[in-house]
Amino acid sequence: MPERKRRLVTRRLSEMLREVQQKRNTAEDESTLPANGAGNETYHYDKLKQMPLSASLAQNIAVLKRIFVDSPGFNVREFLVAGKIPVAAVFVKGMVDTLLVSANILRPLMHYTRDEPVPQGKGLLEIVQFAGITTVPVRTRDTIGEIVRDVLEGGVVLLLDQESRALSAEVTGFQTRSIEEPVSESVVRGPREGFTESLAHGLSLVQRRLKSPNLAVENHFLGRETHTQVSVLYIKGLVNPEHLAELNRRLKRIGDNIDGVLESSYIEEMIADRPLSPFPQALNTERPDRVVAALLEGRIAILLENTPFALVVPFEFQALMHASEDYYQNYWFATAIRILRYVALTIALIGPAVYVAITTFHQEMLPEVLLFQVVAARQGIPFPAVIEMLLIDYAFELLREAGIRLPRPVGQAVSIVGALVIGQAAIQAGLTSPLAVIVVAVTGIASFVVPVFSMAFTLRLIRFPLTILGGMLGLYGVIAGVLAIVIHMAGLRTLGLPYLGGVTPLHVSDLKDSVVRFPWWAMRGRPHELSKRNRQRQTPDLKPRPESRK
Amino acid sequence: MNYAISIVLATAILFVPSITAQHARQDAWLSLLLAGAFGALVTYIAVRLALRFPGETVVQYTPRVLGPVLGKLVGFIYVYYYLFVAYFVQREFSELINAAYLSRTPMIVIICVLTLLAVYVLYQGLEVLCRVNTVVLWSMIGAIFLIIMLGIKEVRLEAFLPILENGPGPVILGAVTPGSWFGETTVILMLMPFILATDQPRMVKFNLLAVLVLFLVLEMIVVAAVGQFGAAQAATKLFPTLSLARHVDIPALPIFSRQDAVFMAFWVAGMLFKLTTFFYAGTLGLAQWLNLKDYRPLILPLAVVITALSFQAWVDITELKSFSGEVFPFAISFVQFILTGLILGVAVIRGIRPQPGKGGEV
Repeated sequence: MPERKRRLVTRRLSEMLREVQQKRNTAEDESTLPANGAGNETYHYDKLKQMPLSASLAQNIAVLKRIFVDSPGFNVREFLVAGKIPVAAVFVKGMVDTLLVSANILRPLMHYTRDEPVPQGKGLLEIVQFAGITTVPVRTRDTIGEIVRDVLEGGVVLLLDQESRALSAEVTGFQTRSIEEPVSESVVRGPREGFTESLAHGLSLVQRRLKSPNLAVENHFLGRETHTQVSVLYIKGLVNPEHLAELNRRLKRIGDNIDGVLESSYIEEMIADRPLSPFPQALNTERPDRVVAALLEGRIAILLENTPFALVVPFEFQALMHASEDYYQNYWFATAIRILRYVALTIALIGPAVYVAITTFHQEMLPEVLLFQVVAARQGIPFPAVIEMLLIDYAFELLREAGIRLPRPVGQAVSIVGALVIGQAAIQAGLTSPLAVIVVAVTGIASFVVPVFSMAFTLRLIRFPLTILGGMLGLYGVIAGVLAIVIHMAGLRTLGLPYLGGVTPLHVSDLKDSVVRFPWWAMRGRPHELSKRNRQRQTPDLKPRPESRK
Repeated sequence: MNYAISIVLATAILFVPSITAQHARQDAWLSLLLAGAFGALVTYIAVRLALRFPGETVVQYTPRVLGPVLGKLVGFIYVYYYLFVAYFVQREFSELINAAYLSRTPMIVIICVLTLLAVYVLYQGLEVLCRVNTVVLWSMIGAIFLIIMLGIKEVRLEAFLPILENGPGPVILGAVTPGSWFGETTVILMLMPFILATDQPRMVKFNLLAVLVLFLVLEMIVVAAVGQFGAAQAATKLFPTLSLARHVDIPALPIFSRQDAVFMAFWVAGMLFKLTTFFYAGTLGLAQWLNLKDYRPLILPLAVVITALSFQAWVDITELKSFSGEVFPFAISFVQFILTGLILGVAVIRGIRPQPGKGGEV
């Protein structure tokens, strides 16, 4: 008896599979896709999105196989629900967790045992969706485009026979880095978590810090080929709707017009208000706490797949001089550190230029004692001060760049050679004065103090033209150069917000979080230009004091 | 308000002490008092006129007030006045840099650098001009204050005695030049359309306040200069304020002793914004005079023109200085005071009101 039943089932199965096979062969001929040069067609989501699923399983499989003909890892797993009804699971191996697929999709469906018979066609989808598969997110899909996208993003799509809808289950299983301390923004005090290349991690890191239903997200998919998911995060009621609309407009403009978005800098450059400016026009950060702090001020964060660097827009220049740790340390100390940073900014910008200007043009400005030292040190140097300075500065940049790119053990060798050759030999050979080396060294260290790296790059870049100006026109040239920078910055905007906001247009309450940092109980308002609708950050009377005196 | 202060301050701090001291000797501070009062009057008239036509610039409404021909002529005088001040500033500025810092650099280079910066600002528009101005102005006043405070111990009060030695005549003469400088607030005639309608009613108050702040700062400088150097020396020094900065001496901290780098930084900035403001007013005025939609095509040609004019107009610094003491004040006071007053008077008598819906175009 069991032997007979087994034979029956086998026969029935092979019949069905043959049936499917036949249907598929006919389907492939009448497939709706254009058939020019099979295997070489290219496909785009916007076109595929308009293509509906057919009601025939065989035809759908044929279409998908045709689209994915040369794709790496594309798989169609055909099986029978409850041993009777043919279904196909479509996925890309390597993007899905195969254990999850077999445990949550294949097993429950193949072993489906309920009393009521499984219908063929109508009603099957609902049963599979609600009583069959056990993965958490399941969605219904009705176009080829959506299916293609789900499959490429690491989903499993179930195609049913006699049904023009498909089910898409999310079982992504590719490898991601675990959450680590952000390398570019480490802190002594404060959370040590940084974003990773996984957008899902990033969103959860933000959400964990912001348990509010007002946290909202808008998704864009950028890049014709990469189709990178970009999440725009903001807090409803705090964000300025104009900023949000403007950002969405600019992101839509990128849309599918670019072939790929691999890092947030792609977006930063494509949404800049002044595309030719060397200044950073979006704040990048690896720190979820920094993103949340920005959201709370009414700014917008942009997170994207495949990079740990999130963008914050709009922002003011002063944000480039703030580190997240400023808000976690004692406010007196944070203020002192910020003053230190602004001094460092000045040194990093005009240090070499002022040295050149004074030694070349304005020796009379130096006090006598110092003047003698400078003159004595520069005795016998074969170059004018400006060439000397540019040479050492250039050598310093060389060392720095070499140190970044080289593997760590080699990097050490480079720094030893650099220190010995430049620090010692160049001076002993009489090529440069020790003063110039000191100036370059201090300038270099000062530029590391700037907490946002993209700003430090800008500084390094601007320093060279300023040095040349100092060599040509003395202090006047330096001042003219700095004025040009100030003029440029005054004209910059990020998403329409003035770059020098807080200072000009001047809002005194915004200065509480600028060069100084006021204690938290005193920072009552959000930045003025940002949040015109919701200014109040906290209730006014938060300063701690003894209960009796209230 | 910031605006008015910084544009006047920039040139005034350079020459005022010496020019005023030439005539009024130790009573220079009294001259300034007079000059301030005159400045307040001119400012009041100018702001009243500007507020009468809040959506237009002076070049746009003079043809309606004074009739098409005369109006166009007066409009052109205003345009020329702004450009004139601009190239006066250029020359004055480069003379100082040349004399004090870069004696062997050709003056054309110095002027060109400053003019290129001004051109850059103009291409970006009025908003950028105002923003940069706010950044620079208060630091400028701070720097002046610092220089004066550092030298205050050397101010000798005897230098101001006797008061009114030669009667009131020299005091009045000494007030002429600074008075005309105070009157430069008339640039508001070109800027009023760009001030927010909600802020316009407060402009009278703001501008008078600006004159007051300006007066206080200048008074400090004059007192410091005359008090430290004595009237005779203050009058003969080319740039008394620069001398003040160079005079600072702190034995304990020799590195802070020479403040002229600080002085130069803020003074270059101040001059730049004065040049830019008047250049802007002149360029915009000319564009409107010619009925152009945009002033930007005029920027570069006009920059070349004023640079050339700044060279041929004066032979050397001695001529420039006597010019700014003897001709300049009367010439520009004519525009600031008499012409402005005239237009306001005619407008009031003929009862001319702004045309509805006509706003200033940039």
